[in-house]
Amino acid sequence: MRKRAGSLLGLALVLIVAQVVLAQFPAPQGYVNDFAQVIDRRSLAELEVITEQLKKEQGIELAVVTIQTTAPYDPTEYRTRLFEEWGIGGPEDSGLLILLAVDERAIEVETGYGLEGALPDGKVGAYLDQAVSRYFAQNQFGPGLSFLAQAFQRELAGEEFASAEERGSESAGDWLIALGIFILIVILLRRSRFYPPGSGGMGGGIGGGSGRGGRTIIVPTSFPRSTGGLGGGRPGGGFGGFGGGRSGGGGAGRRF
Amino acid sequence: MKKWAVGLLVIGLIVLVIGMGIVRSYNSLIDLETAVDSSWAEVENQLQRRADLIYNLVETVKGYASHEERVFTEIAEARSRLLAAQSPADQMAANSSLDSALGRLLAISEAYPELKADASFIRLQDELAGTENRIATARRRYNDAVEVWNRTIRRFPTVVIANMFGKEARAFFQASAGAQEVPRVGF
Repeated sequence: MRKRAGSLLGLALVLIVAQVVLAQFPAPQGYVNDFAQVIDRRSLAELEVITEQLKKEQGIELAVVTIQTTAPYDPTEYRTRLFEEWGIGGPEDSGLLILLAVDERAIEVETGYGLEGALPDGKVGAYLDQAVSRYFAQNQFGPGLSFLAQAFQRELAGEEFASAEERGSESAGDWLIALGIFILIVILLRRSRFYPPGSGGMGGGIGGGSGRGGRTIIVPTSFPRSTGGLGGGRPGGGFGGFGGGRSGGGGAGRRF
Repeated sequence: MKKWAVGLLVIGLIVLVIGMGIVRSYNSLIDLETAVDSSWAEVENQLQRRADLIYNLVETVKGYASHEERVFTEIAEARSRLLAAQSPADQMAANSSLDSALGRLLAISEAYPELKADASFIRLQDELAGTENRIATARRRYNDAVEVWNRTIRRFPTVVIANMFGKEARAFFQASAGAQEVPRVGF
């Protein structure tokens, strides 16, 4: 009874957290997310190919996103938060985000920690200048994004990163030890002559206790930042989510 | 024999559970405290990086506007104050005077079209803007960590453990008025 109430509470919590998150940032649908529907078919195909190649051959996760508006954030803050939210990049923080905001007329690039060396802000800014004057200023959004993706792919040639892999949870071992101690005590108690195995009260009481202990903390510790699970748990099929990469706000942006 | 043995075991069990609770709380407090400290270190890191970038920016501007001595001196002074600052409060104060000096430097550079077109000036402005965003991000993460920390050490039962080990609330990092405006390269 208590146990069920607890898990219901847990579920409610997860749902609330998920909703708050979904209300602000859309879920990723793949490496290319044309939420504002401004990318032409040809550029879309080019972007798909580039992002797939980067992922497969170099372990780099490039996310391309178009969005109508970044409100309530300004585009720069939005790009950093979106990067954080999605966890773009593998275990070596090999993530890159290109964000186009239509209403703000902003093009923003965020580099994951692992790519800051290969793509310093100044270099990103120089490519953005080229992309703005050649494409974005003329509202050629698709070709502009494709130009940027190709430029970054060229800059990143030769860089290789580990792909996303399971990161073990540290708290599991801790809890196994605690569980082991409980089981040991239960066995010791049962061994004692005065409470032969199968006799009522004591065994039941302890069993309940250990169940409760196992439930309480393990749930909250497992969900912050375990982005693999987050990506997998979202509706919308196919895309398994990003690798949990991080960024610190590096990159550059332009208004056009 | 029977009863006291069982009683002892039950007491032992209770002590064990409480002991484990204390260890667990203490460990989670240490994790949170480490998170606060390391996120502050990241803020410092980025402030330092910014000060270095500004130095490079000044050198570039000097190449085109060597007679604007006053603003160069202001920046040099603010920068050395920042580098010498020990406490977070001193760092914040030095940082905001660096901000206003930087604002004047950028305003001056408006008057020099050749400077504005200089490739390394543009690059440095991008690096600077990127670093501003890194500072904003590091500050947000630091404040988030502080919020969790302050909340945890006031809540039961962690408040007991926190008092036992003399853990104290941390101060939030308030942005100086000028630091929120990220300098932009306009085209």
